[in-house]
Parts: sequence; structure tokens; C-alpha cells
Amino acid sequence: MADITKTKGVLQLVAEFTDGDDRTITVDNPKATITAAEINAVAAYAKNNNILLGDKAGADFSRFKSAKKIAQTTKYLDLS
Amino acid sequence: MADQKIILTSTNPGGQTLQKTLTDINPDATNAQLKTFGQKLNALTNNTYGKTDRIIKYNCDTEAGGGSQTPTLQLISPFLNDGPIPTNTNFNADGKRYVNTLQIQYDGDGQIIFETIGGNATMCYAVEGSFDPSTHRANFAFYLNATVSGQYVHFKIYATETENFKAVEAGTYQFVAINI
Repeated sequence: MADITKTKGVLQLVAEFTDGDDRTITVDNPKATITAAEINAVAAYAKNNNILLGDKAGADFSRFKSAKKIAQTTKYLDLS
Repeated sequence: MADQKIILTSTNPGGQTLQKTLTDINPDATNAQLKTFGQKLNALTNNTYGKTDRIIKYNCDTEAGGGSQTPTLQLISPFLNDGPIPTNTNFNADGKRYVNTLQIQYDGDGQIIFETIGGNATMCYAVEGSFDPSTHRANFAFYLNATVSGQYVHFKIYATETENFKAVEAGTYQFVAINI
């Protein structure tokens, strides 16, 4: 059996809160054409509607301070 | 304080079901707001949006006992009005909390409210998992704080859109699910 390579894409968003704390939200299979404006629009909705709270003191959500598209490649080696 | 989270369910391009849990959700956010947020977050991906479930769990300050007596599953069918939890559920009398699970059948959308209106014990409850729209059922775990056998809690269950449960047609539960 030959080696098998699998690739998985994730979007890693770091949410920042007003107490300075942050939290990472990861979603699978981000769109190839995703833009900063689209991500910021999600952040704006979360902020304006008070969706997310900080996990330490329940602080308000401020913004996504970073966004990364990460392609994870895993190679499964055939050990036979 | 209630700990709330949402579970975003979607399907990836390969047909696999994905579930993403987001914790520390604002308890004051409405179901509609949480659903919209789930949809917007999913729109950043190639996954097909399925649903957003809201999970509410009330923190009990002691662990549920398990002991040697396990209360039985109580299916609320037909509706028990605002009567007491049946005393044949074998709640023990050692000061511990015991878990009972009530399965509630419902129909529609919205939110289910538990309201304690009397009795000589206290309770808290948690939604187990999420509401299942395909079976119209939800499980609530009850944590009853009893110190003497026979203690009970009077409680009323109603939906936010139909406050008086007695107004519900016999045999139906027009409780509404917190499944959004």
C-alpha cells in the first residue's frame, strides 16, 4: 500500500475581547476566495449583537485580531 | 450564571457532517441572532450550513448523586399540569442531589421555560444535548436537592409563546425547542 497524503484547510480566527483576553475560533474548509472584508463583517455582527463573551470575565468581544488560512498536509506513511 | 454554547452543524464538500462548538455565548443573545451568527460564520467556508443549536446548562453547586437509587425516566405524557414530581422516583434522603431525566415532547420553535412555583425542595435543570426536531423530543436532566424522602418541587413548564400550558391542546406539547 502506498503512502497517502491528505490536505485539510482551516481558518483560524483569533477573537479579541475588551479585557485583553483572546480566544481562537477554528472552522474547517475556508473558501479559497475569502476576504478580510468578509471576515470583518462576521466580526461586526458578533460585536454589534453581543454574541461572544470572554471566557475569563465575560468581557465584550472587540474584533478578530488575526485570521489565518492554514493548509494542513498529513502524509500517512506505508509501513508495510 | 448559566453557561451557554452553540453547536454549528454543517456538511463538508465530502458529505461528512461537522459540528463546531462555540463556548461562552452571551445568554442574552436571541435565538435568531445566534442562528444568523452561525450562518455567517459558516459562510466563510465551503461547508453547507445545517443548523445552530443553543445549549443551556445551569450550574448546580453540587454534583448529582448517583447512589444506589436511580430515578426512572419520566415521560411527560400526557401533560402533568403543574403538579409535583412523582414521589415514586426514589429520591434518597441523604442530602445529595439526584438526577432525574424528563423527556419532553414538543413542536415548533422558541424557548421552553421551567418555573418553580412551590414545594419543599429546590431543583435545577440542564438540557441534555440539544433538541431534536426530527423526533420532537428533548431531555432535561433534573437535579433535585432533597434532604428528606418525599420532598418535592412543584414546577410549571411552558413555552415563551404560550405561557399557560393548560391552554395547550390535550396530548400535544406546544413547547418550543431551543433548536435554532
